[in-house]
Amino acid sequence: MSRQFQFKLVLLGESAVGKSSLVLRFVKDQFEDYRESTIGAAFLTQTVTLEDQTTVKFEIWDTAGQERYKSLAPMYYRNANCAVVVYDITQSASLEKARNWIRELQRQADPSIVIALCGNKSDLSARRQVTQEEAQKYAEEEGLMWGETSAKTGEGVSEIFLSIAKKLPLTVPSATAPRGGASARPAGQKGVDLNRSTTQSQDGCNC
Amino acid sequence: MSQDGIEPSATVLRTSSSSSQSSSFDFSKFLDQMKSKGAEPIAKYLRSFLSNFSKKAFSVNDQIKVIQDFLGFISVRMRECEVWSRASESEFENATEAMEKLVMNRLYDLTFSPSIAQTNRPLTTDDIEKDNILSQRIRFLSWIREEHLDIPPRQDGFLDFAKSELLKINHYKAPRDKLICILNACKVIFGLIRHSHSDESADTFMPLLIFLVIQSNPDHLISNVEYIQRFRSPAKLKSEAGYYLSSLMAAVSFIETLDHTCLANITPEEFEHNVEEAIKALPPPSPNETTGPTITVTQEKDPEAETIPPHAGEESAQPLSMASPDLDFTSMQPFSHPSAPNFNPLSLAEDTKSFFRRTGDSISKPLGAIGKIISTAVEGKESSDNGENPNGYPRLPGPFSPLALRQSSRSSSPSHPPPDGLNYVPYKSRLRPDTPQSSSDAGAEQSPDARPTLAPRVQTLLDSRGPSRASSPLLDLSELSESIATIDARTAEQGTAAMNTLRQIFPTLETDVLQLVLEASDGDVGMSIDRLLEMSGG
Repeated sequence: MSRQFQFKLVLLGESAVGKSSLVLRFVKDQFEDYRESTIGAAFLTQTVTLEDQTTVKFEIWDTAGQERYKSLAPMYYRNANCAVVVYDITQSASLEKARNWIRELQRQADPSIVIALCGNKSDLSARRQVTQEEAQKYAEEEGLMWGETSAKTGEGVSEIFLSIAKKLPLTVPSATAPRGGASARPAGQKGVDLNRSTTQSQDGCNC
Repeated sequence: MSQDGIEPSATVLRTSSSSSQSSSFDFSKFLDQMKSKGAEPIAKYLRSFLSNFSKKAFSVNDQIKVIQDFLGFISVRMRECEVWSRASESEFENATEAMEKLVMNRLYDLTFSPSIAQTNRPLTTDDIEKDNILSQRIRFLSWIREEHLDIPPRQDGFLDFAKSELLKINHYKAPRDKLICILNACKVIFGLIRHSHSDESADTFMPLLIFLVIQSNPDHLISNVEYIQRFRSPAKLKSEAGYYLSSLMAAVSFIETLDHTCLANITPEEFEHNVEEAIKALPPPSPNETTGPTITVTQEKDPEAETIPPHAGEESAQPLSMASPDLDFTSMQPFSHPSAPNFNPLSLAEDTKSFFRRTGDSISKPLGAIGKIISTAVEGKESSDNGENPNGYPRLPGPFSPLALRQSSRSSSPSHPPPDGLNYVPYKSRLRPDTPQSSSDAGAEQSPDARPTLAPRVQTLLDSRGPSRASSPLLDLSELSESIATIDARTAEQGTAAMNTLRQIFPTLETDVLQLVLEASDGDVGMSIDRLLEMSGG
């Protein structure tokens, strides 16, 4: 049986950068686990399968991007294994906000958290205010993953999540040993659900 | 999943409502199982645990540990028991879920802070102080309107519906059911978001959740959230349920720290003025603000609050069902609706197509089962008043023995005759240590396989050989006071509440129409809304 992991992913970024469209696009395109959301699209799950048949299930926690809710973010990124921080390539101010989120994550979140910086709306590159070079350079300096996406066309979307999946510590099968610290928690206690998602991937679409 | 008897059509809609709610939860089925002879050892453990738990004063942390230990222990025992040994995963899940619910229903007065206070037991938490601070703060902020949170003006009907769902949190006793109230309120918010063609995201959800909390100001919100976090199975507080519970806590935290900079469209002066006016309008605080449930905030509309009969809230909350988030899956995933074969949701208008729905077949079961049990109890009541029967066969009537207090429920229910036709004895005598039952308790404890997963603390609690006091508060069957009449009345109230909900959401439709649709939907509000939206939007 292939190995299965489950990780908590928190989604941060200013309101209008399209972070929820980005995730909807990701979840829609692969439509494997969407039905696990029974309430609304602020919490979604999606499973990706790596080349070696390891499956990584993301539990995606959306956060409100408005400035007034900034102080609530720690309640969402607590115990998160990874974070996608989204900015809008047509709004340089949104990259500033993203930098703030990243600083906060680096200070306050679990030290092992994997952070991806994501420049959304690449379909609007005619109105680009943030160059690829600028963002990439910043990401390299901070040791972040980086990519540009278009939630509209789907370009780059699954790539971001796939590269996060590859970068996550996939050394301990989720059904067994705790890794210690927050990173193992979401995976550790999920025996039943993981089995369930195996069943689903068998009769569902296997991407 | 089809082998476990779940209707295939139901699973289409709810395949993996996974962690947050078990779609086919059937409490009465579990109660029936517990009444069977094969479940006797389980019932004995449970009875013994409940009785002993009530005699000890635990700290909150010890309560959590002891209850979790017991539930872990009992689920191992249940798996070994013939009743569940061949149950499918999901059937067994139903049983363990129901066991948690049953245990917490029974222990509610010892574990839910406001109930602890109400029964004059010592409190070991500051939940109630926090409740009071929060609800007072919300009253100071009651003037906050949609525009202060950048919420576009909405249909009040949806908000009232969400409010009524959230306010049910104080009606139910089990952590599972309280959690469902929160999740249902969140679902209604997403229905509203969809209805107003906004993006479904945390950006739109969070302001509405905050607004909902301010508008509804539920009594004892902190106590409820704490109680859920303490006593709901940790595995069920992850994923989706964890997200929405965290969001509710985030909303509370926002309200607790809110000042004028957190609001839109308001100046510092206006903020101050509004708060001052709100404070002036409040009655002076009562002197013993921190101790009693007497200070409960009076709700504008919460007719239930005052008149809840003693064991109301032990039935099961029904998750509102609705389609998946609006991912536009209709093209690939036609909905099916088991109880409404002619109902074609695909024809719904775009903004309404994935509205609340639930499978009609699961609606009436829990209440029906309770009604049955209670009618059994009431029928048997007179004879039980004649006194105890310590020489009677010490058969357990099952986990519902607390409900069946003061009755010798001998074969009074045609649908649930005692398996062997022998009389049940009154509850009190069953607790006596000198009955044959007790000696078999001892036997069970000594059986080698009873040990491995049993924490010492639980072991102590399971030891029922000590003198039991029949007057132990938990097992005092005063709960039985609710009669069928009360149940009927409550059913009627629910019908009225359903009509009110529909009137709020569809103010322009005639009452007769609403009534007809509600009846055609077997009283199911979610389904009625679906149909009415189809009618009005089609």
